[in-house]
Amino acid sequence: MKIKLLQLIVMLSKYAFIGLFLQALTFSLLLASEINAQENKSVREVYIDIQLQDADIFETFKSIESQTNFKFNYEKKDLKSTNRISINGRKQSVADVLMEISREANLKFRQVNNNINVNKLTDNSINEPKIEIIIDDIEISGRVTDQDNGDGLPGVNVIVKGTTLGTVTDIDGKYSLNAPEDGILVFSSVGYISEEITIGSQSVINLAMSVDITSLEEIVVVGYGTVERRDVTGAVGSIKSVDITRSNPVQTAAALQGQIAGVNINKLSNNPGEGYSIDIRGLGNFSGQSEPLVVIDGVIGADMNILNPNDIETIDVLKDASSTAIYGSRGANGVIIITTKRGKSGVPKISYSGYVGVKEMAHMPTFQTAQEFAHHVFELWPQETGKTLPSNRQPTSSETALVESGNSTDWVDLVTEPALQMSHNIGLTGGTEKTTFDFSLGYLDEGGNTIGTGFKRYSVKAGLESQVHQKVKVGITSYYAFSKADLGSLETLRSALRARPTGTVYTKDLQPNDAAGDKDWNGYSLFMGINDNQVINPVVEAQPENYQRQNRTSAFIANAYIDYTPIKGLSFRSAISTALIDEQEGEFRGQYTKDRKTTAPPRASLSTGKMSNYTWDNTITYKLSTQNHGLTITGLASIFEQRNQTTNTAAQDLPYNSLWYHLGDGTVTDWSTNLVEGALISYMGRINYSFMDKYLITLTGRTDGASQLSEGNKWQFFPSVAVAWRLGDEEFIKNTNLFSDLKLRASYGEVGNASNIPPYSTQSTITQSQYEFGGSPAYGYFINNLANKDLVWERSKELNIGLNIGLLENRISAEIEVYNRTTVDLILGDKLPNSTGYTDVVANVGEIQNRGVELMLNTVNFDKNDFRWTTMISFTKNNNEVTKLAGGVTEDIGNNRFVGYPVNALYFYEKDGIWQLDEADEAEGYGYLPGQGKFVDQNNDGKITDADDRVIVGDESPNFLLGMRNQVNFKNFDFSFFIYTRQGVQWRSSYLTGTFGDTGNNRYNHDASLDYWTTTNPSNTYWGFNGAGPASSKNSFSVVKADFVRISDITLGYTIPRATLDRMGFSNFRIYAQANNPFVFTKTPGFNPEYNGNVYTDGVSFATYLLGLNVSF
Amino acid sequence: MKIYKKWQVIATTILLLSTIGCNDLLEENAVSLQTAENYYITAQGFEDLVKATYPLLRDLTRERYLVLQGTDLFSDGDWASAADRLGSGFNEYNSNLGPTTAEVESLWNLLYQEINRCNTVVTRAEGVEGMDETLKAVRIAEAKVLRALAFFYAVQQWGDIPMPLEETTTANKEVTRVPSAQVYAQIIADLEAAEGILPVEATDYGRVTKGAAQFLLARVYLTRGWNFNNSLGGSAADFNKALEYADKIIAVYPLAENYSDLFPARNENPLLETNNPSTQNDRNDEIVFAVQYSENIVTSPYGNDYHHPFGGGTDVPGEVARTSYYNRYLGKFIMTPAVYRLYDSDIDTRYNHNFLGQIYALIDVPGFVPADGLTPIDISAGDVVVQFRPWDNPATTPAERGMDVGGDLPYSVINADEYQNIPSTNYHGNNAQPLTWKWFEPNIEYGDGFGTTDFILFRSAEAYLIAAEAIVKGATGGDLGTADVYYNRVVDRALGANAGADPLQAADPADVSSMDAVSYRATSGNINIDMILNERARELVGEYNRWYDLKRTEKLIERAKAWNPYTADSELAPMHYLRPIPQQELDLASNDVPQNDGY
Repeated sequence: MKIKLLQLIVMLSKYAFIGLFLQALTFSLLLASEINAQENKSVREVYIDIQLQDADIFETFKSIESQTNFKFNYEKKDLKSTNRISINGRKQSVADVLMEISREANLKFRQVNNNINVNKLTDNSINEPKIEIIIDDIEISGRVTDQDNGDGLPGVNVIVKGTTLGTVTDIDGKYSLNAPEDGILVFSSVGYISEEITIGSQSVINLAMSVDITSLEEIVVVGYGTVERRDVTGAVGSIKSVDITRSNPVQTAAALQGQIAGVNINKLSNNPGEGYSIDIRGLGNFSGQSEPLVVIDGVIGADMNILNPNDIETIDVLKDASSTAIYGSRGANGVIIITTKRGKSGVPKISYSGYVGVKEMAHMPTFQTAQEFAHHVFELWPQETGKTLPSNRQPTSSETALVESGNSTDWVDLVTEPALQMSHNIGLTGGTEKTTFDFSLGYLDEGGNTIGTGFKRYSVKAGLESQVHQKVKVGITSYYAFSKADLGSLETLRSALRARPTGTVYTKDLQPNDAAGDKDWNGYSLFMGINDNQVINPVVEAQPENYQRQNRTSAFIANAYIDYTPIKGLSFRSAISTALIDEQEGEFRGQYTKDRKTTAPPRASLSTGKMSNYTWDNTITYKLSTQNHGLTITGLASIFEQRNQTTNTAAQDLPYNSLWYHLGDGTVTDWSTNLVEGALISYMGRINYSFMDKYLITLTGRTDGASQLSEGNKWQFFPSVAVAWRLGDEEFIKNTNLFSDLKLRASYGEVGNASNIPPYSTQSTITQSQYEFGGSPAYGYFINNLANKDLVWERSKELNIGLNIGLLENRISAEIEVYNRTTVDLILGDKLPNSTGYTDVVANVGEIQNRGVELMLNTVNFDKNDFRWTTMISFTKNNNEVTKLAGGVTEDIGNNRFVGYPVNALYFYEKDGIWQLDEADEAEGYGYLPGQGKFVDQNNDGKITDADDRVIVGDESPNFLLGMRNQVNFKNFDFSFFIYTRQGVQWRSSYLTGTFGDTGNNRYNHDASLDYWTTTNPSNTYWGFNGAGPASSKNSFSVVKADFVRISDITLGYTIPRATLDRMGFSNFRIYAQANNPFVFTKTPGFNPEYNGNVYTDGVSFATYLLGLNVSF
Repeated sequence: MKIYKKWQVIATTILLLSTIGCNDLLEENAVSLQTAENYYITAQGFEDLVKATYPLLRDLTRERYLVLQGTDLFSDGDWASAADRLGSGFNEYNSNLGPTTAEVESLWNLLYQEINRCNTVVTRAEGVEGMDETLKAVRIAEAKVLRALAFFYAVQQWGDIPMPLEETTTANKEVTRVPSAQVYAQIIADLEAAEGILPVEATDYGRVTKGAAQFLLARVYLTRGWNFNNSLGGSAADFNKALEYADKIIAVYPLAENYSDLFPARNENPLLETNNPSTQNDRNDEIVFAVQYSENIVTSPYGNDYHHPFGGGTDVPGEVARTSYYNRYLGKFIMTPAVYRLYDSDIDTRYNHNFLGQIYALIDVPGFVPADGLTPIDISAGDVVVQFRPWDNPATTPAERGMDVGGDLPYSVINADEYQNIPSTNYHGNNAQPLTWKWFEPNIEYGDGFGTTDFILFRSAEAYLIAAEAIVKGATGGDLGTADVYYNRVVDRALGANAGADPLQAADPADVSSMDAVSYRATSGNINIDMILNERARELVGEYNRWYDLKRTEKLIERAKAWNPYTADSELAPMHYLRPIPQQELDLASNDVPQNDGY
């Protein structure tokens, strides 16, 4: 343990150093932009030390001017004859000095701001005041807006610096006040960075305020309540609507990528509308995914992908166990709390945001052209293998003709096209002081680059909140979204990627002898003039009339609450949240598809799923605060129930193309329905206590009972404690004048996870088998799964230490987290020796540790003269290690689990180059041929065997993630770009293990960039035509690094100036251009270094270029 | 204070309400899923459990690699390249056939899945209520026969094996290998007990019957009698038992009149096809036990696939892609050159049933160029485009050869010594070979499966050959007499009208250049194991047994090296009589499990 702590400290120092370095980079810029404050003060308020002996009046004035900002105005000739002055005094006000002068020199003074006008005292004026002070107030007005969306900001404090003069902006963000010329206005509002503006000669001052993501007063949602960021004791990351929508993500999850440290988001495929995988603080199990709990407006376990990102106000990510403990059994993988937008009181405000763009195929690997393919297969293959090409692999005359013509068929190009992507969102909010409403409509259309694919989403959101009684508040929000995903044909890309580039597209272009054996579909040659009927013309397969898959999803989320406050400080809230998701998946395969062999009548299938759940939370909150003590007690009783109902129908021999809407006319091949139900009951208590606002403690306990565990194991208690010390508020820190914020936090908690346990896994359920006796159906029932009655809760125990630092009025702010999480009694599918008759069981399989460091850094690098440059950096470093396995074993090879290694270790033969020709004899001893893979014989027994020669050659866990956004605002222009990188990931590339990387395949197309071995190219990097060698499925040649650096988005925007807007009647009007994923830097072969998917069905990688508009009035 | 009380009342009420009935909520009630505990205790449930022991036979009989490949009869294609030593591990017996070979894993997994299902029947029987005890005993006996069959396959493949006899109920990861002799003893005990209980005719056609148990006993005893490596606990008495049980089968299951009666009827010319096997009765008195299929796609979703994995192919002019005319030929199991030379093509009806002699054009091919430089010819639908001559009737003169090689005929003629080893011409590729026509089923959906006829696992023709083998190995007292009598019954059925004639096979089947022939009629003087293995090859080629036959008789090395072009110079050695235990099993076991020697 000591050693581990030491490692932790070393690790922390390492990354703290990086953080400091980054800060140092920006520090000098910050100093340069310090403002030299100017202000008007009365001569009565300004004190000087002055000693003059018989000085003339001019010397006297100079002396005063040298010590103050005042400037004397006079006619020199008027004062020539004045008496000489002697003043001897310490610390006296300028007014006193002037009075003395007045007496001695018969002068009178009139101060107008910093100017002091000097006049001779005349007899007439002898009784007038000797000093007149006029600090001129001029009327200033203007409008304060949100820099990001241009909306007027109500309630912003506008104060003349150094005075109590001030006002507050109205509902539209407008204000007016009288202020001294040359004064300084200070604008401040919760959640925004305060700004100071010198009035100068301006009478209209408009200001766009930017969100202060480190604002201490910012409200953070922590589950069953909110706290101010200054009072947060756990590790919580947040992003706001502006950061969520900035890069116009189709799915909400994408918005989190690189923007919150500790959260690892990866694409699942390039298909339109596709979701993302999310893990928080590393993988907590062996399944490759540890999805966090998602809570949308109180709906627990909701699906993030149904949301329109534009409807989201904030996303709060609870990372450490003390934060997630209030979600008890469901918090082990972290919690993402999504709060949608709420109405605001004031005159109704309409806003529109939208964009239109084009999505283009980008970052594609290179495939062989017809000529390269012909060289590879028709020439090299026979030469290198010493075999004759099988007759059905030899070039047909059509193929030969194409190769000789110098042309090549780019099948991928034929089945892809640039696609349109657009989004339109309209919002309306408003209300009275007591009742507010919000309403929004959203439309998204993401075209797919592959023919027949696309994603559309329509969403409606409405909310109403009302203080119906002095003590009672009620509210309801509802959200409905409908989405339609056209998934195209499963075969289109698969065929296009595999089909030989020597194929012929159109029947008319076939050579006559090939035309005879081929088939025609609307002018397209079905078998492409290739003597291999495995692949049919991808263009034909791609046509929606031949092959369609479509998913339709309707999702409804509603949340209603009643809040009752019987006495001050005590509130009772009862909230019901429900989610209904209705999904259907249809698939139609017509005759002209590979599946239907171009001869069989169509087949189709329809699957539907209905998921419904509700959560009923009853919460009591009691708040007490005195001068030194703050106490909040929260109690909760909660019930959650969910049901999933599915049906599947499939039929073949359909008489006509009725998609999946007329299955009864065919022969039904599958007809099944299913129901899965689950429930969770919870009781939670939380105490937040603060002393002198500096010492904070949070205690949480939650007890959960889950239906899917067996009797006796159902209930579990999850406790946590967190403390925080606001060091920055201690005098000794304050006195250093270094920190604007400094807070140290520490927490420990235990959370559970029963979500990995499928319902009914503690029971042996049975499944129907199909057979027949003498032609009569004989359905049987066999046991589907081995029941495990001993399953207990999976639990995570986590220690978290966090530090918040703010420097220079929070112009540099950083949040650093160090954590150590151990997940014990991991619940997972555990493979069993097959001699048990089962392949796997759901079991408690072991222990995993995740340790890491997270850093969030926000800096205002430059802020002067309409020019503002800010940077956000998020850095995530996680070390993942299996620490224990069930049964006390140190390795479970069959399940790919190894103590001391990351969960997703790659256990393969270690590559050691390629057997070369001059090593043929040695190679033969191992059973290999020259050109095949050479592997390290780990135990030197002269054989390469699975039993002894596999080792861990890498793992899929990233070393670190880094996201950086730079934003520059200059006058009305804004510019930002986001860089994201993931380093240290390795995986066994499914791109290379497919046909692209199979050098020896003589049937399908290959990657054109592989440096594969031939007798004349003694490559040591990739095997040649005779394959990787025996047991090639265990070879590590396809294990590749999947590091990448990506410019995720670049945006340039322009906001129309205020004055013009006013004339046009808008409160905001911003246009922008954006490029999404324009640059990806990677050496990873394949389509997308972000994920290792199924290359045949995952779509093609792309970049998007769009123009957008934000308007509100 | 009053208001405080009111609040208390409301809050408490709601909180109480919210937790009422909580514990009920946490009870799992799987509405759409039945649990084993609830279902198998009823007679209906138990019947359904037993029914679930049958379907895996379909998966099992599709798992052919370890049964056919690497033997004397099946090999990889492209015989000309065999010398390059780049065949599959199954035929090369090199490190490509190892503990990680997928087919080794999948056969193991299937067998133990089946064993566990049968064990579930045995274990759960006691808890079944309200079921007729006699019927229950029959059902248990069915499961025990199927379990014995699975153990029998496993013990032959791997030797010492895990032998679970009870349903698996805990996730125990310890794997213990039990000595082969003990496995055989268990198999025999189970089969003999079942044989006494099972009816001659089952309640449903296709279930395990007394005959099935007896047939399996004959095979098991025969195998134990050979006593591989002295490890099976066998003795000479086992051959007598084998003969005794074979006689019982022969007495009850008469041979079909024609060999072809056992298989789907079809026309050699697909364009003249009128047969529709889904209406053909595939029951035959010769069949003792068969894996059931039908045209019902719900109960036979994948269908019998024996028509597709074997050699041949119709990559010829006038063919239409992806149609059921010749259906699909994958060319994964290529017969060795010797197989074709085991038959007297003139009089042995099995030759013409098993192999397709000519391929017809299905569409017109106008302007076809038979060979470069020749005048184009017009091929019409229904014309022969390729003809395969049997080994004993080669085309020798240009008048008998095709235009592609300078002959006169407007179609290509391929002699037996050219199968799989002929320069490609405009008519065919270099791996041309007659289609294996034994299981061809016309008018079924194009693809890898979809056959509707039953796949025969046990039939009495084999019982004759078991009896003959047992007698050769010393058994006495056969009902029909000497070994040659049993043997010739099978040959004569195949000869049909020519029964009694001397059929001729190649003297050295492996030597494709030789026309020397010998009779394969047996006499009491000449009958030996090799003759029986040859006759098994003729009669049972492609059925689910060759590797087991060669292992039992310990003829694998000799015969496979002699006949299989890919195995000829391979590393095939005595270690290969046992397969490697799947690496996956060793990887998953929590204890150290010994691997078979050499792997």
